[in-house]
Amino acid sequence: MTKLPLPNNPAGLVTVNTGVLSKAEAVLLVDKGCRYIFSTELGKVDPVVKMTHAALLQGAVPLFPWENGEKEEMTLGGSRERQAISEAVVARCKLERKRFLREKVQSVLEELMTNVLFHAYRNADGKEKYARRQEAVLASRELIAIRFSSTAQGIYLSVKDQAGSLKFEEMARALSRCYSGHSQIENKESGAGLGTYMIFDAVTHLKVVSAPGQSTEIACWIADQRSFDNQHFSFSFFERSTK
Amino acid sequence: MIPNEKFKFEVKPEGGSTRITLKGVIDEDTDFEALKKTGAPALVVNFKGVTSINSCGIRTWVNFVKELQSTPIQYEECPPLVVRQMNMVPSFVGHAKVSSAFVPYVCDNCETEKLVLVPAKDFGNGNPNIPETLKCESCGEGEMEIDGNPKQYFAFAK
Ligand SMILES: [Zn+2]
Repeated sequence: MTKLPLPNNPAGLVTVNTGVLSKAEAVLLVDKGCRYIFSTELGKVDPVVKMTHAALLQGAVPLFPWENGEKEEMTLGGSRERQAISEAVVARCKLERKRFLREKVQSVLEELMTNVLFHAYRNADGKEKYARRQEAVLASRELIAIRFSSTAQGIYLSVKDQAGSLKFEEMARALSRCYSGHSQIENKESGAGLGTYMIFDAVTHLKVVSAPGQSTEIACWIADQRSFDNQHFSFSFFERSTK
Repeated sequence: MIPNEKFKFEVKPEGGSTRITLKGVIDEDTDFEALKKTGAPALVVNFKGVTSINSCGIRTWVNFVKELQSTPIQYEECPPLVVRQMNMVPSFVGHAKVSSAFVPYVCDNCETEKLVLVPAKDFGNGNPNIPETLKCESCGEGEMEIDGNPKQYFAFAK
């Protein structure tokens, strides 16, 4: 395990972490506050790790190789539109005959959309604006952008809200609870924990770009591969300054 | 609450137990209350017709199974998307026994897909005893391989 330190970081927790990890090991790091984790056998000489460290030193958000290329875009305006969007993504990415990848993509997209619909928007009292078990119809300033593309290697998906309410700590807590065995699955009507875990477990790369109070974008890469490869996955949570 | 057109179930008494056949989408609108009232001494749940399940649906199902702690439950004909949830969330199975699951095979030549039903005796301890390849009946040329990693696929059975 190698850590590349960053400035303004007295506790030493905000580092770019690299090594060959399982997802559970990565979550232990996330739980300790690590926002940038790259599982790669190349360690700190991995070009993506170097790129991330360099960008962070400049206060920038890197664009990862898996994010390159042209994307298609759709808009999610409410809970009833999820199925049509999911079907459109499957059709546009030609996944009909690829069950393994298709079901993964549909599950990740469903959780991304559901999490955002029901958890991103809050009322003035901080409570979630749209309750589950009720139809959510978003206001025009709340519309969610869905972007996607496909290559022979996998599928890119991104979901961007106009709330910017997702906090790193919330995400870390959700992941660590689900991975640490004492699951918080039961007896919870709301809560994005299980959905976040399902997304993290299924994807190869997960990148969150948060602009507090403005937007949160969760982008991911789902490799078209049948078994888990612990030498190539990543988790990163960037926060853009909105001052 | 939204009327749920996406999810259907059938309840059928069979000998000493009750077979519940689930169909469609299990999500935040799915309600298993009616299933709790069968009062059956044992349940067989057939998952073959389940087309999608999200985290809210998993949570509801886990709670449902917990409430039936003292009722023997058997899961049969679990499709790949249900198998994936069983591997990810062990409490999705809980105290239930899985009696059979579908394994997806894909042809390397024509990409035709085939689901093969495997009984518990062939995946009992997480060491699956299933053919690695099958001859493709569709193109007659290709070999069908398991769409996934067999050991990871049956991890729930360990
Ligand atoms: Zn074939």
